[in-house]
Amino acid sequence: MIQAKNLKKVYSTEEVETTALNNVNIEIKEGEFVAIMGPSGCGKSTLLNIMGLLDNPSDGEYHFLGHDVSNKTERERAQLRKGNIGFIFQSFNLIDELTVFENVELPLLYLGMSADERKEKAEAALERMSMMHRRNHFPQQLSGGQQQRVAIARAVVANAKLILADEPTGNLDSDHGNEVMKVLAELNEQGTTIVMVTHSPHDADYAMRVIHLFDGHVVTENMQEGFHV
Amino acid sequence: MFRNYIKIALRNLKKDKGYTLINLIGLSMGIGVCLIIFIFLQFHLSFDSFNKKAANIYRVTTSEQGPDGDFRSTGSMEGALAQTLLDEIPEVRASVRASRYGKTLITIGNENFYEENILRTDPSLFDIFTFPFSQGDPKTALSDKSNIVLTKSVAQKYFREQNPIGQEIVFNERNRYIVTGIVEDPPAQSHINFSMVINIPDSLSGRSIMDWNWLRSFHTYVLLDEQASPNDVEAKIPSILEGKMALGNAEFHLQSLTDIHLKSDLGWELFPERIFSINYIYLFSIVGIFILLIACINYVNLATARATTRLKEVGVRKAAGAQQGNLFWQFTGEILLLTFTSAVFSLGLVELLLPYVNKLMDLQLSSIVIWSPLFITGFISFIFLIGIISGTYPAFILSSFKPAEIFKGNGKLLTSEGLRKGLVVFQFSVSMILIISTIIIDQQLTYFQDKNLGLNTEQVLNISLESTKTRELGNVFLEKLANHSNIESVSASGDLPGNSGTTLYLYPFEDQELPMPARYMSIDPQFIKTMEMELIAGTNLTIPNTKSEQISVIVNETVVKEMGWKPDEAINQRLDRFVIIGVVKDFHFESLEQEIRPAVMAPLGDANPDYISARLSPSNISETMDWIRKEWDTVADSYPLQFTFMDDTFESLYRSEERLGILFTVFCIITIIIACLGLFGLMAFMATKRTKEIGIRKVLGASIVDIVTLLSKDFIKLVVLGFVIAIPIAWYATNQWLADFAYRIEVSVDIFAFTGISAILISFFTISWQAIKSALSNPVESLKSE
Repeated sequence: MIQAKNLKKVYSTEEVETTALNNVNIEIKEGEFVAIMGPSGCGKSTLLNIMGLLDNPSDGEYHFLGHDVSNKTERERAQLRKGNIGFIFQSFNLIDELTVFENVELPLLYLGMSADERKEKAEAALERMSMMHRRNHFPQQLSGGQQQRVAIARAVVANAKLILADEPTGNLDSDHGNEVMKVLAELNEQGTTIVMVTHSPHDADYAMRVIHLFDGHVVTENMQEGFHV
Repeated sequence: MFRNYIKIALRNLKKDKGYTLINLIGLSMGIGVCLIIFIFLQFHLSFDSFNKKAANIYRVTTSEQGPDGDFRSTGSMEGALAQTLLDEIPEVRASVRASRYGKTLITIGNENFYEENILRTDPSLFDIFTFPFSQGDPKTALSDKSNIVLTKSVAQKYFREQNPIGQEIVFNERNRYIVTGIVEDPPAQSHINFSMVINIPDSLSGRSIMDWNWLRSFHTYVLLDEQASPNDVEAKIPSILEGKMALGNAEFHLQSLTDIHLKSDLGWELFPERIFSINYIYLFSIVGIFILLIACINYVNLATARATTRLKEVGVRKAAGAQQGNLFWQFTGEILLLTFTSAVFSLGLVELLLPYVNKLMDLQLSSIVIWSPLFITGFISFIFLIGIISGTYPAFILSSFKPAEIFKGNGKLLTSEGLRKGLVVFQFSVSMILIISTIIIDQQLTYFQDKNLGLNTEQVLNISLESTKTRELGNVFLEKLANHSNIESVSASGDLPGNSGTTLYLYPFEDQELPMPARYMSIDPQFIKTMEMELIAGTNLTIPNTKSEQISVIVNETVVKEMGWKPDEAINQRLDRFVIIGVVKDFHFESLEQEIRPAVMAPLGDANPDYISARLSPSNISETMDWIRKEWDTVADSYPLQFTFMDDTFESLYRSEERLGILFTVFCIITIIIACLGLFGLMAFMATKRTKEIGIRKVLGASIVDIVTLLSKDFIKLVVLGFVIAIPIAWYATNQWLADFAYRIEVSVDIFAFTGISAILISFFTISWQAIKSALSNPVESLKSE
């Protein structure tokens, strides 16, 4: 599903040039659950953004679903992203002005689905996340764990093949965090590929494979034994 | 998707009420002002178009070189011209002449009245122009020279419930007319305004009106065939008139009816109060556009400043699959909702304010035009355009944020600060240009009012003797006035300063080809004293020796200067047919827009005066007036007393400048309010954005003054820059306007300094509230929230 070869990302300002990623080679197969770990500033989020087609590498190749997306325009990346990739963020990133239902149906709106179709799929996703009863509430009215469940519902509503999660439990207490990890594990069992950035070794245990980044490089890759089921 | 956009737009606007309110107020005011200006422009631009045949009606004018060498345009034509054009040019389907009777004594039953706006014309008036009849037949209403047609309101005024048809009206106690028709009042948008209509007589002073080369008093209109070319018709006129009238170097033109109101440059108009200048149309259009632009700039500035609050949303939407186009139209939808809501408010604002505008400006604007289906369609498109113009840039900025940058938490995402600053500078430049212009117009008007006119117009009552009978009684009444203790001085004259008057062309030297045009007035010996003019050489007029061939005159300083004399040297000098016996200091007899021309004052002699002037003592003026009215009734019985005060007459010369001043003051206030609203909004946002910084600074020891200065200084710099840009533009524009006045103020540095300081103070007060609020906030709270 994902192939990155010699990936490089450099950020340039007037005064300084920062290499966020350097010579990163990664391959992720369909159905995998991969955790990316590393200290702050090592390039984890940058890697996730490139995987999620939110950004382009400065150099190297990146293939997603067989397409070379290294040099695609924003428009082309958006087209590929739609319906194929779902995002889960540390700070949930729900839109405050939209209700729970409206947040979840957002990806379907941009896929051009009819109102009936959107309703059916969004409700199914909310049921899956046990958030149907809060469909008309606004994010400010939910707890952190509930907000993250809504975010997950949004990420899966369009049957995305790939879920990218950036520190999904970072703003949650341990109970809610475990809840979220269980949901991710279930999704993975059902066939969804998950790439998760995390600081937490506990969360990383849910993954099959852990990639360690340091200063923009992949330093180790481990297959997990006895990862959470 | 569209419903989704509207839903989100509504919620976002509701979420930030302050921002929404600022934009609503600014846009409503901006659009409202534009609408009022539109109604004003439409009123003037559609003048005379109520006439069904307007497209084919033309007025004949000539431009020719006068005896003094200047070119002048005139619409005053020979009495025979209209018929000649009709007879000899096939393309002319109809023609009509028109002239205006001055204030006339009319008698209905036993009662006397004075009536103005009496139109003397031909029966074909009602064929050519559209003045619908409510009673009588337009084809026959003026078939006889003794017929008269009244307007509805005049008929109502004099005959009330009685049927006016068949009633008699007598003019000047000798000419009898019978009412044969009633027409609707001419619309406010007709350059021809009348209360009564009579035929042009066949002769005047025993001579036929149709004789060439003696009387040029008639405005002449022609109705051409639909296919006729006015240029071709124009070209035929000189050859037709060859041998009939002295053509000299006159060029004939056909002026389109619909051009008369705005583009007329004739030396004399039938109804000058119905003539306007197209320059004002351009000026008000530009001002309206600028005011709207300033309101739109507020939206652009506030939206781009607040862009950072929408970053998360943009990132999430893009991550969820939104393209830039989706987001662009979403944000554009928000501004469209705002502008359409503002548009609705602005319509209400117009209905509320238009009566006040009419009262303030002495106009008759109607809002009916903005409720027509055609206008509403155009208006919707206009509002849509405003929304697109205002919203395109912010929408583009917002929709172009890259999600990766957003999620990296890059605080330095483009905030288009340079453009925002530029727009604030632009807003304040325009505001300050308006402030400076308003001050200068006001100062020029004050200058008019305060300037030494060379005569004292205060407490001077001018009584006009409009009929033969009252003119005969003039001297009798004058005697009575002279004996009243509250009347300091009285005089009689044939003319007055402030009236349009008579111009004589004097040939000072026999061999001189170019004449001296001079204002001519006939006066009695008391005139100089009553007007408090200053005699600087020679003596006053005395009762003239009627046997003398020489007429003694008093002249003004300008005559003396033109002749190259000193005042004392002018005494006993000949001037054309006159001998100079006295010189007065120059006095203004026209608007201060004109330079003082040469003036010659000759004795009234035995002639009956047209005017009696009385200088009233300032105490008990109303008692004195009561006494004057009573005395008038004993002398002139059934003739109404017609009077004005001289200072009012002079003030009325500047009516259009006064109105301009009022309008500019209003525009000025509106512009400043809108600009300050924008500044307030920006400041509020900036203060919120810098909450953390302010908290840190306070913890580190910054005082309230330090914080207020920190927040305010950038904005004040922009206002100062706006001022610097405004100075040369305002200087140029106001000097151009002042150049039209022969007597004018000097534009001083004080005005600019005052404007700059005022603008800075107003801006500071606008932003200080928010700055002080931020400075007083508890740093613990602001840092905790971070």
